Amino acid sequence: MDVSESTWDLAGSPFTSVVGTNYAPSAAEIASIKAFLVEQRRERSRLESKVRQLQALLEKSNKYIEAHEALMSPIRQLPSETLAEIFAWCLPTDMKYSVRDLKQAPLVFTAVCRSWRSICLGTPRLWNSIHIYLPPHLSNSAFSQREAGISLWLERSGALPLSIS
Amino acid sequence: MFTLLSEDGISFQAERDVLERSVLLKNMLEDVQDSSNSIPLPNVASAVLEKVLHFCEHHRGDPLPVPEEDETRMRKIVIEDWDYDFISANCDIVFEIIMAANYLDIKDLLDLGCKYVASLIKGKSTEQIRELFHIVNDLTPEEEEKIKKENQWAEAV
Repeated sequence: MDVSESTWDLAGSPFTSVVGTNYAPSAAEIASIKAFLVEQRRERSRLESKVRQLQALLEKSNKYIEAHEALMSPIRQLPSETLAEIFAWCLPTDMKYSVRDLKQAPLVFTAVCRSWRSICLGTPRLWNSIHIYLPPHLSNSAFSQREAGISLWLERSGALPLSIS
Repeated sequence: MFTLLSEDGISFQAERDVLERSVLLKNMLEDVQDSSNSIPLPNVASAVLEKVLHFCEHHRGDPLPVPEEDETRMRKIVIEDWDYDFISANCDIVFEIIMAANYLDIKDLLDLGCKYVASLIKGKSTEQIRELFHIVNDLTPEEEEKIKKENQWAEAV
């Protein structure tokens, strides 16, 4: 049953003369208010359920629109060489060499998406500098792992001159 | 004065030394004696062209940046105050500005845009980068596993 907005108009309540005052109803009146509210509470539950449905629909519509908006994300329009240039500007500066940090360039770009990975691996100048730190007491397996990581890094620099600290 | 015609048909007037900040326009103007014909720029929308010309006007007379002989050398992200204010004020169209600078071959504007975007990326994780630029992770679980293995050495203490 659809209930009109006027249902919720306090002026139409059978208790309109006392609603909003400090009037203390008698026991009989309390019973009558409770009985009156049964249907109103049911209607409120219906409204709440509708709101939940609408909220779910709204969230779905937001995701739908966002998914389509993502297609138009302007960074997707950039040519690969410009993106590579941006990656290069992300390298450490102030005379510091790149470090093996997954949150820093160039490693961070290897795991964002396929196209970024391909651009990053195909840009030797992102890989021709590295700061190598080999702490004492490094286990053999950790040493081998680091050695392999460094080799792979330097392989990606192609024929460029290397800067290592 | 020369007239540029944007992609959406809006005309902009600028003087030769402003336009010559763009290598593309500089080369075009060498062949143009008569300034009565407008120069169409089919890849640049008026909203972007206006900003590009603003940048070029501000930098008119500055020495043109020379291409780096060694692009592998370490660079410093230094952005002049005016440039920083300019690019921050136009951050909503920074990629369009970058594309226009790339097309028009305006090196200092291209560098500025790239530096600005780099400053947005720096310090962010892969997940945060994806979120920032609406990038979908299209790596297969196998590829992700390979990358994880490859980068394991970077995770170890």
